[in-house]
Amino acid sequence: MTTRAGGRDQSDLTEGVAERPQAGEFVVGAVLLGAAAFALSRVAHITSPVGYSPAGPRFIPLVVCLIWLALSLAYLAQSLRHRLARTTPPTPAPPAAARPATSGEADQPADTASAFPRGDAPAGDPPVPAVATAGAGGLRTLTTPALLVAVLIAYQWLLEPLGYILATALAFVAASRILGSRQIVRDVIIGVLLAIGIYFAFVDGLAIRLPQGVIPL
Amino acid sequence: MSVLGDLLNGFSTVLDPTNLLLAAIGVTIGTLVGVLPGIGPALTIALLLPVTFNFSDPTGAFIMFAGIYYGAMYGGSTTSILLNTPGESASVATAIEGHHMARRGRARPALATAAIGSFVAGTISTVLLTFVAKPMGELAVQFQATDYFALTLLAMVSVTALVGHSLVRGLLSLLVGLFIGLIGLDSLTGQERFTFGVAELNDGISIVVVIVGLFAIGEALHAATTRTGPADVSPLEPARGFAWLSRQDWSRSWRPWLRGTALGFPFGALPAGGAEIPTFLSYTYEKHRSKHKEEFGKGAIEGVAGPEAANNASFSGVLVPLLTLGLPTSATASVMLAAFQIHNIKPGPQLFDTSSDLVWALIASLYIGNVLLLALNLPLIQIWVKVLQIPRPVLYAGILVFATLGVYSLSASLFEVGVAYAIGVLGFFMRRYDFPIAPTILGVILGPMMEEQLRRSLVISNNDFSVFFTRPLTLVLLILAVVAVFLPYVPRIVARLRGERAADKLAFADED
Repeated sequence: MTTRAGGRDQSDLTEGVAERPQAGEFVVGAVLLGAAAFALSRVAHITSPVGYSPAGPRFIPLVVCLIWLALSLAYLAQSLRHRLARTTPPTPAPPAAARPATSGEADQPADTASAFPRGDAPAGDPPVPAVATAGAGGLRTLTTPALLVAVLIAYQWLLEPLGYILATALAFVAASRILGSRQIVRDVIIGVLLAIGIYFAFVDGLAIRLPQGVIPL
Repeated sequence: MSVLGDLLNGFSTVLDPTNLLLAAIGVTIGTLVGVLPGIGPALTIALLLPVTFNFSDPTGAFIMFAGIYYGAMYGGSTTSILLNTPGESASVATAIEGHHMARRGRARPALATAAIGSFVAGTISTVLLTFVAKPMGELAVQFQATDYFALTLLAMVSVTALVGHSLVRGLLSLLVGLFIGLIGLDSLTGQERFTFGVAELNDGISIVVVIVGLFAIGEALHAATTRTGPADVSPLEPARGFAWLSRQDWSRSWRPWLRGTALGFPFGALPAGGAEIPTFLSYTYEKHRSKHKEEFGKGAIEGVAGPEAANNASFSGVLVPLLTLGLPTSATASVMLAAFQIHNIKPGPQLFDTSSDLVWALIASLYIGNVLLLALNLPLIQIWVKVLQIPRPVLYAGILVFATLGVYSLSASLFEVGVAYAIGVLGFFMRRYDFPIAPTILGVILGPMMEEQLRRSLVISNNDFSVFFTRPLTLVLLILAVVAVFLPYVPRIVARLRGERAADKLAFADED
């Protein structure tokens, strides 16, 4: 994995430094809080012969959900405080050079930046404008991962009806296109070879069943 | 004597031609996958778990895993040096100096000092493991439920407190992991918890699904938001010197290797585990001690040699609590535990009695994996360079395909594939909002252990919580857990007391 610090550097660079952390933090906190509250409400549904006694099955879920709830509140409070601190004085974004040196990303961001115009717009039917307004920055960068998730869901849906080889080749081509590839012929060749290679290696080599689907083998 | 005899037995198992071949295959595919940017050892092993499913003899499977692990470590350092994209946080220190060396035309010495340093550290720390593991196992027999409870708590809390910049975010990551660990049938009473009536959730969510989701799918989704260009792989210069190292390189490398090993093994063996702290300590130490201070930040060979050795040594250290207590303290160790469970082996104090042959074969295969790695992989460097040049879209599309394959072949269940995708979305947002991943993994794997030990202690004591404070060992461990939470804030508190500018929270990069 890219490390936390490294990953942040990159997204900062593509989305504008000041924009990212604050815009969605509040939403993240709210979602966490909602999830914690929902989980807490389900604790009572756990059948327990001894109620909330510490030796029973309800006690730890109760403790976990309560701490989760409290931490979500703390996070929400933090994000609100950040937001207030940000909106009152319009502090300029910290210069890139001021970031901690531990990230080990000395040269990477420059490469990222130079490659910015290339392969930006996702491949899907609605062409997303490559240059978005600053305000929509957070949402715009979510379209690519969202499209990728759509491909994954379709992949899961089609894996058994279509069979492993066909579904995998399709998913591979679609995913690499969404990720910015423009060499469709190359992607199709790699996708098909990869799918066929995996299929026979697993089915014949490792005796692990993969869905055969519509292709008669 | 008996330790030596057991070890020789292990060697005779491993040196069987079939097992040697398995070790060689493991090292090679481990390197192949580990070299891919963004894939660390934990994910490599998780993705390759299905490969060993149909092995009738678990020994062969574990010999292969040892190879895969060493290959993945070596592959990760190659990526760090040539591409400056560390596959795991323990390689961050390597990436800093190693990549600078590569850019100054010293890629081969950097790769060689990493590989040979790993070899030296791996060998020494495996020797240490050989002699520490069995006595530890005998000691661990006396551990009671309350001690185990305190140990798991300490492991979770210390990793959470030390990783990442915010304690609140780290603890939230941990709690989400604990919650995921609660899903399924309660192990003691068999009651459904958070299954929402979905029968597929009764068995809980497998750690492999969580790791593949958080690491592979989360990383691919996150990569989709950052437009990366073609990989900027540093070119290799012509080879010079013995094993690519000049006389001066050798003399500047060997002490950092040994010091890195000395830091890595004990830190790995602590239940607070992980490789980040020793690698960063080693980096800092070498930086301050070096006669070539001015080279640090521009490519100092000590800054590669020390941290790489520490990284490798800490893994053998992590095996101590894993094998003797059944307590995984890093993401990689969690996957190893999952691998043990798939082959119906239960690590813990009894392991050295029940599966003595397997353990010693595993330890012996660590030695062999080291040797094979050095013999096979340094000469094959040109192939790994080619792997690094895979275009980003193809790479991440491939990672998604392999992640799906890994989960599906594990369970033949489309439902689990869906769960992995959902966890991948969670991982994406965690990356985006700077939540550390390692605490979630530990929460999933250690949470159920902690709960079981807590309830077992309470059943024995008739719901009397004082058992946790009357047993000295338990009490010490619990106090250490509390200390661990505050430790990262010590520099800040000291600075405040001195009236200086408040220092940042002490933090180590997130583990893969």
